[in-house]
Amino acid sequence: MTVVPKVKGLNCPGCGNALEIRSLGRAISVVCPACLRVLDARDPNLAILSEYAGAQRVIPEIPLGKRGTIDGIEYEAIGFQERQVMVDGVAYCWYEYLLFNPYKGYKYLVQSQNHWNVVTPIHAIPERREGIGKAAVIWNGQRFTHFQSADAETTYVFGEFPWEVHKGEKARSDDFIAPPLMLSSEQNGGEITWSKAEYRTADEIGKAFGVPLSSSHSGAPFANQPNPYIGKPTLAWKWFASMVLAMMLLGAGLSALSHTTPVFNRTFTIDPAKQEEKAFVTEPFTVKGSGILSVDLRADVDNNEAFVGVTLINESTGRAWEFARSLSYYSGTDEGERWSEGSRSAKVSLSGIPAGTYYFRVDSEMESQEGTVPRPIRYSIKASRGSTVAWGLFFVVFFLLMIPPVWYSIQKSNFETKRWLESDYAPEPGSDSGDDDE
Amino acid sequence: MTSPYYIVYSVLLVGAWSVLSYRGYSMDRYEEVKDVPKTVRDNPGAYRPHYYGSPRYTGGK
Repeated sequence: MTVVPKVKGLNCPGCGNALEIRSLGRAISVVCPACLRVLDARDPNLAILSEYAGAQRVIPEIPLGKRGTIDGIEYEAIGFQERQVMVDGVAYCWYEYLLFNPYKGYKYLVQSQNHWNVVTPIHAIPERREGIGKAAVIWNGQRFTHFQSADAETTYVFGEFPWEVHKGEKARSDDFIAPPLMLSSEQNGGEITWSKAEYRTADEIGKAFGVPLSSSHSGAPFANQPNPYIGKPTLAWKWFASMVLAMMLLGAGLSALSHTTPVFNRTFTIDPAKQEEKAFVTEPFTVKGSGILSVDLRADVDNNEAFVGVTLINESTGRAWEFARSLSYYSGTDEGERWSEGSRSAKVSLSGIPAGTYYFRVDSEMESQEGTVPRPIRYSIKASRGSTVAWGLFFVVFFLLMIPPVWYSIQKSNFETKRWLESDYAPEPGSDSGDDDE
Repeated sequence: MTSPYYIVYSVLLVGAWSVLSYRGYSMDRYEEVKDVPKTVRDNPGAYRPHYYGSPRYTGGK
């Protein structure tokens, strides 16, 4: 049976406040929560190591003495410090909780802008990799990319610590990230310590310690915050590819199963020399079944243009479908090069045409050119019934399917851009104007 | 597996496309007219389709 070390009760020699030392035998210094004097925990009389000169107090969101379970092990918050770095004259601060378990030792809980990290000291020194681009370290076979370096200063402290803590303590810190992990080195004098931080949400830490914690962020991702879109673009693009493949297979299957039946095929002539009525109707024809009714127009135009207007009329109901197309074909030679433009044919697909008896009303015209007598041209109208795969709509669906994977890709990229804007590698303001006028 | 919303969205899109392809769907420009008079057969030149009066020629190079 193991014996749990007991908490020792003492009084602060400065203010008389009752103190509880929870990591007895391991604590080097203890800070009185009432007067913030730093006391020597190794001295039975708790000799005063330093006085607190500051006026502003910081209230930790996790009260000291509070216990919480992290990764299945219960820890007690025994120390708290506020630290800060100065960047361009602006102070950025964060809070560090010292957690203690009498059998497992110490862990740290770091709170920065409501982002949380569980920090564990590591003993193996990561291998530095310098080269082109960002510096990196390798630890446990994993590459961590340099994010930022700064001089951190302790600005507020209370509780107990396994080192001689004091306000104003400074250390050079270097952070390397591989989200959700971060490796940090702290250099204080000649001593360098490395620690591994693992990102946790405020909800996780709040639940672990049974305290409500705010989870609102300023919007910028934290250095080692996992990208919520990681993996999503790949999955979405794979799903997109499978959907496009499914559509192609469906389309091929429908094409193989479909059959078209000719229902009308006549050839006509436009003779501009004849003063006859330009509009006429055809003999009736029968359309059976369902599906698309495709109407093909073709004219033997050559350096001229014909206009063909068609009205498909249901003989019994009077419903009609109207369309007109210009068929033109021009060709010639320009500076020794042959050119041509236009098309002698056009195809119109009509949907929702019920079975029945129909006829066409057709009117046609030819382009009249000054000083020339246009020759008569022949044109044909063919109609066929049958299902046709909506390949035009295929491309509309293709682009609609593409929206989510594109959106995920942009979101993932935006998150990383915002993350690195907070690093030492953020572009200087105005440095992206690369096309200044000479 | 990707987002269930994307799965539902894509299945609906592909399903709608399949149904439209099977039943027949056209993106071509045409106009549907109801109650065309039966006199069209006797006097086709008197009927004015919707494209009547629209520009007819695009012109060559």
